[in-house]
Amino acid sequence: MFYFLKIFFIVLAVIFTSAFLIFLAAINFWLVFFFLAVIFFIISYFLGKIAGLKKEKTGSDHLLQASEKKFSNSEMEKNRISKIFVNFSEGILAIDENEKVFLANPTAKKILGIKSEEIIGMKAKDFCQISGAEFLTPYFSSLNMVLKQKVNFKNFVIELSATTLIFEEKNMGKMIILRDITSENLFEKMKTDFVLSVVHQLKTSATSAKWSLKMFLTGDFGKISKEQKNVIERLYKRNNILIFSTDNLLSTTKIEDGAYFYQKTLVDIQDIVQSVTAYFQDEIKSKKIKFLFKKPPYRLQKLKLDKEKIESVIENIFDNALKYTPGGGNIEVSLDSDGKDIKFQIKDSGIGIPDSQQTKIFGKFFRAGNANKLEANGSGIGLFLAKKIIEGHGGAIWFESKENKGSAFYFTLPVE
Amino acid sequence: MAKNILIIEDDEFLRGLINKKLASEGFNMISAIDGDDGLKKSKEEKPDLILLDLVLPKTDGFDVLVKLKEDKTTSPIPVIILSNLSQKEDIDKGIKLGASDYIIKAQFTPEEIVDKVKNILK
Repeated sequence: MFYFLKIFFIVLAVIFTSAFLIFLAAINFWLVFFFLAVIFFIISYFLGKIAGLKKEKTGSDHLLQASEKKFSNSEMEKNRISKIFVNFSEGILAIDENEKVFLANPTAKKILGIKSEEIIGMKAKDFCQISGAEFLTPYFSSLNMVLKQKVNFKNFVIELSATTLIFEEKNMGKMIILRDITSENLFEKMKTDFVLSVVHQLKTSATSAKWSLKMFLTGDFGKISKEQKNVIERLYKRNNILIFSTDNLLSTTKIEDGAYFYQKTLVDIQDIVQSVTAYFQDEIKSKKIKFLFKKPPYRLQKLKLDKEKIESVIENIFDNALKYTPGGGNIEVSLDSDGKDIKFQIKDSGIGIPDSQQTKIFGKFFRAGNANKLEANGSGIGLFLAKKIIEGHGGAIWFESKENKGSAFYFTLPVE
Repeated sequence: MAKNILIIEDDEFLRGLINKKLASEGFNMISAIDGDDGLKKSKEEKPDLILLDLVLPKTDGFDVLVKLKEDKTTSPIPVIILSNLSQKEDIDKGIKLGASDYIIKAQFTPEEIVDKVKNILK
């Protein structure tokens, strides 16, 4: 029995030991498992953190790169703009709102004869004094826009434009553009001188014809027959047209030269219209044109005009109306004012201007096809000059025309 | 007594025409063919009136006018400029230098020139 019990205890002991061992093992396993798990989580947490950091790092890298790119873009933009300024054929000089120089490209420096680099940040006035370019001073302070003003400076002839830099209604300084027109100017002058000398020669010849023909007509060279007289009279008229055209040619050259200055005085435009009308009276009668001058209801106010030039405009368009209106037709001139502008109008029942050629009518040397057929004489300069002169007075010139019906030419001059 | 008129004009044809026209009106004509010749004859002949061209060989018309007006013996002689320079600057300059009148040749007939001369010599 005891033996039996002993075995039982042994078995029990073994079972308990085993169970305990198993229990210990189990605990150990879980412990190990727990520790492993803890270690795993800790590691994964740190790993995650690192990954996150990494992620963040690439993010910030991206940001950095982007801003770098932006920076390099703006740098490029800046470079590009500065390259444009550097290579600009015009001189550019910019001053900020405190009248300090903040930009001067090489062309500007060349024109103004500046060698040093240290003009940026300099007071505009001091800078002018140093470079001897005092002529610039008024342009710095004035808010007015200046367009293509001709200035002589040292050996240069400069075309100057100035504009105020306004950004969001704030005055940000001024930009002055200088264009070196020295050689252009010289070339233009040579051309003008050449035309002047040719015109002078032409006029001398035309004058000798005019005087001799007139002296034939006044009997200074003896009696002439009726037929001779008729021919000489016609020659005399032709010659006068030649003189008129030569004067026009001279005016055109001077306009292109920019040397077409207006000498303005206070003028009553109605007087001009009346004197031009009187001048054409003989032709109006001989062509049996029904002519009407609609005067304004009251005397118009006098305008500051170059009388000769405006007279030549009216003469030119009046002459066109007469030339291109067949005998027996109508010509109507009117003059009025709306308080802002004075408007001149001449309407005829002439051959009109073909639609296809209407856009070219103010071009130089242009003559409409139908005009050429009717009247071979004409230089095609009259309307070109008229437009230049009217626009030079701040006015506008235009027309309405229908082929075979007639034309109406208008111009306005501002009442200042 | 016939009045003396000196014409300073290099173009022989134009000069001949004016000479003929004025001579037929009873004037005594003296011709000069360039600026220097004109100045010389102005002093020697003491004309009653001078017709002066501007574009002239040797001394040009403006300089002739300046010298005529500087010299006491010639300064009272009326000078009519007879030129084809029709620019306003030239006309203003001529009048400012003391010319009595400025005639643009191509715009005047010989008769009209005679009238101007007679008017000044009245």
